Amino acid sequence: MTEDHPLDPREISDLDRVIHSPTRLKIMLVLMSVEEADFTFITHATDLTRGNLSANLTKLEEAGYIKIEKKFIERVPKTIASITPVGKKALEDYSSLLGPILDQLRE
Amino acid sequence: MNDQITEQTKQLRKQYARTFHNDGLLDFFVGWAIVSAGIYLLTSSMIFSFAGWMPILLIAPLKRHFVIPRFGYAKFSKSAPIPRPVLIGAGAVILIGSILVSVLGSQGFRIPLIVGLLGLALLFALGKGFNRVSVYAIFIPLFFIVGLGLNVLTPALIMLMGGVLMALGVYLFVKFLQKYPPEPEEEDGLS
Repeated sequence: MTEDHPLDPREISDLDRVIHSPTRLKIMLVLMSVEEADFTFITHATDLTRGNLSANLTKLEEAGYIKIEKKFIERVPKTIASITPVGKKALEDYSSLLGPILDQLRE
Repeated sequence: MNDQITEQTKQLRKQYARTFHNDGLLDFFVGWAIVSAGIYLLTSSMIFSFAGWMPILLIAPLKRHFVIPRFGYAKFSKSAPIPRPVLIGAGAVILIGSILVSVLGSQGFRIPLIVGLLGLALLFALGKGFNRVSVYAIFIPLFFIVGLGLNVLTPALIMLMGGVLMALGVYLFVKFLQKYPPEPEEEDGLS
């Protein structure tokens, strides 16, 4: 979708719908910037309510984009989320697809 | 666009690390260590040479008790090494600063020059996004080596500086507690 590959609106349908939601995109970006984080940290970093975060974390986990584990951190049980290699790849693919579309719209 | 993601995540990481250290604990205990050093210089009492640094051991338990439950836990990957131009720039500033201090130092410009240079170094470090630990690790030895080496630091001035940091620590800690109230126990609905 550059000069050699002009914008094809049909490609927009290829956008990953799991990541395309602003809420899940926020979560993915947060998890991309840390190795792992607990539920509280992600709540603050995304400004999401606990219920909303919980529902969207489950969707991302079902898609295989994140891994959720119960771990003991400093002897306290925590719900820890981390991005998986599949999730990283999906986010990169998403940005590779969306980036040129946005670039062409700006021109 | 992938570069943009990398840049975004780098910025986020810096922002989280800064917030994590913005609880005032480090500032308070570094301030106390400086106050103790001032008292030690004034009284030569050995107690204060230890009393200053011992409470720093409390930072980790206090973080566990107050900060992590409120702000949350995150593990950051190792940050990239400091870029060479930044290191060269910092070296040049120290070199030029030393020359300026030695040339103009005898003409009564010593204190304003040192304060100015230390202030610039602090602003530079904070502006580059170094976290508080790195900033204090650079700033405190410089403060004492330069200040005491040039005989411009009095115990009163040292205690004043420590007091200011302690007050800053208390202020930041109260702000942190207000901004991040206690979180409910693990009610995340995730199995």
